[in-house]
Amino acid sequence: MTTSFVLRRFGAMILTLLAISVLIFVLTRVMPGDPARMALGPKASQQMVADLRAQMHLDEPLYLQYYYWVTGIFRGDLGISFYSHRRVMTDLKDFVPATMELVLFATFIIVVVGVSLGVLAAMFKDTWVDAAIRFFCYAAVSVPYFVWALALILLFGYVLSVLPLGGRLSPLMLEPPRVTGFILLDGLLAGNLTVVGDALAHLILPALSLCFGGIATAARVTRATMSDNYKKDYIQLMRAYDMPRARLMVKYLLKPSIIPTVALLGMQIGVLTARSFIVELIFVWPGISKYGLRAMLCKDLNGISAVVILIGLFYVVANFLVDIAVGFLDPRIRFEGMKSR
Amino acid sequence: MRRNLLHRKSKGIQVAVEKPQRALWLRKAWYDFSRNRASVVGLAMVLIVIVCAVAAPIIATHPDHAGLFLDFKSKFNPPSLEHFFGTDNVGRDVFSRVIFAFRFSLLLGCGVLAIAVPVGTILGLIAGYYKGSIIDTVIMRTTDVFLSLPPLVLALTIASILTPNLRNALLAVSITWWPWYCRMIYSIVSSVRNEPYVRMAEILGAPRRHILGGEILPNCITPLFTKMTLDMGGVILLGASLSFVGLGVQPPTPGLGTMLSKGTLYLPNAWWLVIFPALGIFLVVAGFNLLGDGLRDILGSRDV
Amino acid sequence: MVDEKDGRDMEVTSSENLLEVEALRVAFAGFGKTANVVESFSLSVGHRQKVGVVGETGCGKSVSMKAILGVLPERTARLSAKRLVFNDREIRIVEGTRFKGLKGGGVSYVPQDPMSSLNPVYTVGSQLYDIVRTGIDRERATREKVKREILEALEAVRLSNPEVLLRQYPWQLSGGMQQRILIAMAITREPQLLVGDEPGTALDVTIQDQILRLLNDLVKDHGVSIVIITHNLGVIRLLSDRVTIMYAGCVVEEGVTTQVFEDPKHPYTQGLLDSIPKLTGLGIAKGIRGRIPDYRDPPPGCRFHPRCDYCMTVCTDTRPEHVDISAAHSVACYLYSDGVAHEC
Repeated sequence: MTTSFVLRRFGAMILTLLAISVLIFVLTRVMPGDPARMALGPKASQQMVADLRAQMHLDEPLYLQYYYWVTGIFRGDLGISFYSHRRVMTDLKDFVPATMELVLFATFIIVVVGVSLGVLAAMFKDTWVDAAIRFFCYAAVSVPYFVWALALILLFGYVLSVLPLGGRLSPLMLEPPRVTGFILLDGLLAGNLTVVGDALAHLILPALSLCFGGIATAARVTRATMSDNYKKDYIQLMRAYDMPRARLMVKYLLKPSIIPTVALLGMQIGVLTARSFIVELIFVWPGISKYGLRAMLCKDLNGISAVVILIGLFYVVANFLVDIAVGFLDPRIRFEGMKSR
Repeated sequence: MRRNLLHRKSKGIQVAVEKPQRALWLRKAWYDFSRNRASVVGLAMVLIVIVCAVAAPIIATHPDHAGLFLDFKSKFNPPSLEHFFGTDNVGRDVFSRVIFAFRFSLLLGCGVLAIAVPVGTILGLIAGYYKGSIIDTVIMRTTDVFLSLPPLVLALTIASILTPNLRNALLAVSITWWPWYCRMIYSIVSSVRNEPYVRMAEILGAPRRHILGGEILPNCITPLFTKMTLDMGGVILLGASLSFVGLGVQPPTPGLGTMLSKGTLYLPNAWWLVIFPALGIFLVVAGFNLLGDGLRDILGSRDV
Repeated sequence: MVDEKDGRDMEVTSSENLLEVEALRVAFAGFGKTANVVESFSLSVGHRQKVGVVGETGCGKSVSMKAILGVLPERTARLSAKRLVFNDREIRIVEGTRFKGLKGGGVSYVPQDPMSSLNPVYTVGSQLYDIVRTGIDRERATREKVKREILEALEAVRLSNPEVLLRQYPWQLSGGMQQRILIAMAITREPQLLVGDEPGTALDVTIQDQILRLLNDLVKDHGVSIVIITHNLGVIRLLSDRVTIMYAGCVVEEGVTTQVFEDPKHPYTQGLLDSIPKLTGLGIAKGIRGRIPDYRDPPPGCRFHPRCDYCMTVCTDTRPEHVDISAAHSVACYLYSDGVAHEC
């Protein structure tokens, strides 16, 4: 039962990826102009352009072009940037892990902080704890994320001068040997705790700016679900049996209650990825946003499509993992209608 | 599900009438609404923004600064009595530019909703009504494709393909936004579609447009209205994000996002170039969010 | 002698009855008005006895038992009772909102809706394990012991393949099986009193029959006493030794089941029994006119008087007290008290 569930979700993921790829492909071919000429620049000779055209299969029927394009992606060939005239893949290789680390760290904060706040608010329902958390959620949701980012910069960077303001590491720090591309993990693997600490200091402000709204949503949803589920028969029955309150809340109430929050995480990761575009600019974070935005401003179609594909891939894979997590938590979804009686 | 019974003639048969007592309902609604302080604050904020936008030439102290204007002598003046929010890098009055920027933000918001809502609603209505058929599949799969990318990314992509200006930003955000309406309307319509009163109308032979417009659509009005209010803030935020990266409103037109991004270059010295546009964005977005939350509470929409 | 009417002197030998409730009142504080749901509930359950509590939906039978067990929402319920004794232990009220000392200790509750009473994200075994572990004292709580107790309980309720069952999720099982599991859960606590809230009501009639037989056997084989809450007179007749008839939060008649059924005294009871369709007779059964009262504004005096064909002036004034018709039958109605007043 579980394997078929995973397989089905995986299949859905593949289909979605295909749909995205078609959408992007259509967008790139819809633009006027000669992609080969734009890739090589105005100074290249006619012959070079013709050669590139043949290489890019630009004169062949559209469905064949799509096929070559997709297989090219699998080989890691994302085309040549119209702007830098270099292979897109080389340019992006360093930026992608930076963005992913930021987004994943922000997601982690959302899950840990958001759920904890929600649980606290539910356990101390209608007390000052609950009211304070609700107020915080309101504030977090009302203020747009880049306003938060700027406020955090002003507060911690200038007024308090506690945290660094830009980049992933302080100028003189050396990056640890690249295993995953995530400085936090690489630093831990290398046992270099100073690097990890420095990286964290740099990570915290941009991650917070990204996830404020998400924390509020997670807390609100968790609290509401917990308070709804508390009234359910199966919880009340355990109360009748004198189940100690701690175990009741943490084991039997929490698990069914965080399911909606986890389900929302998929969409939230998408929102975080999108927001990172702006936040990376503000914090001078060396992620794909800088590259992507430059591509967008210069109409570098290969650059744009590459960035969008990568983001789409990340988003879809993240949703897939979230779906699996939900299935893990809620057996009804895992078994999906296969009841034995 | 709130059902709005209206006067209708279906093939000569007079259907029952029950006009809600509007005055009483409004007064009660206001009473409920005003009990929530946050919602009232939201309403006030939105009203301020609307007044500023509509009466911009009157309220702004230096209306001509909102266009092409250069006065290098007065650049980077901190906030003063003459320039409430200070001046920017070419000497323009920030206060007036923010007021005018509200205009463009609201224009963007209304424009996007004016496109996205009808398109999304009609598609959702059709897909939901013909649920299970090929029409449903085509419409909803298309919607899913558009939803498979994070919103900002989609908007950025579309905006970047076209020339950056307000009109194209509007178009980009609309394309990003309509699927959400389609999905919401689809779910409402699918569930309402099988209600007895809809079936009755079909059996009585009512024309399709009456069923869609007169029986099913009224159920969507409340969630639509609430969602539109909540979305206003989100749309404006998306528009500001586009402007922030340079793909929306172009200089010299004042846009909250553009002003913000320009302002970050001059931090921390000319802090007024960042704070005031940021506050402006906050006013608009938070105002609509709070207002929308309040509306959702009193109108009781579960689908939003 | 067993005496449990309110306002009368009680002469009760201590270990005669397992459970004694006297003059229980339950009110719910709402916005503004208070709903006085249970006006006066008294109950007496002897050892190895099956007592039924009957009344229409909303008469307060569930609320009364839940109040005794302490399962009501704590914030809004207001309780008071003249006397509550279980197993010779006096139970006192804590802060007017719940009874202390009764929960879990010797009384088990089998809830009404089996399909929503088990946590859907945990296996049956895991929930049973935690329940048993809570009831057991430290030294007995080894995994094997607990598991054995669970398996024994599952066998006692006649579930086949109990080992397999433990690994399944509640929604994978039928309603009847879930109900049995809930009963098994109840008996793992080795209770002396089992309270069944509408047992089998949510299930098919045939399954309900099996469940009721099961309960009967539990009394016979394990010596528990049972309180059955139901609106179904057939169940009462089948299962209970004594019956308490409730209306709108008051006990209107009480006695040995066969006597009450053969010779119903209270107009409400008569109406109830008349409502049962019969194969012989005049066709569609007669009902009782009117509806149950709004608890925020209940009728003064006898709460049944607006619906009663024999209403007298005195009925609108004060609540009637219980009168003994015989040793095993009592009723709260002015028709049977001394002193008759005018028809109203």
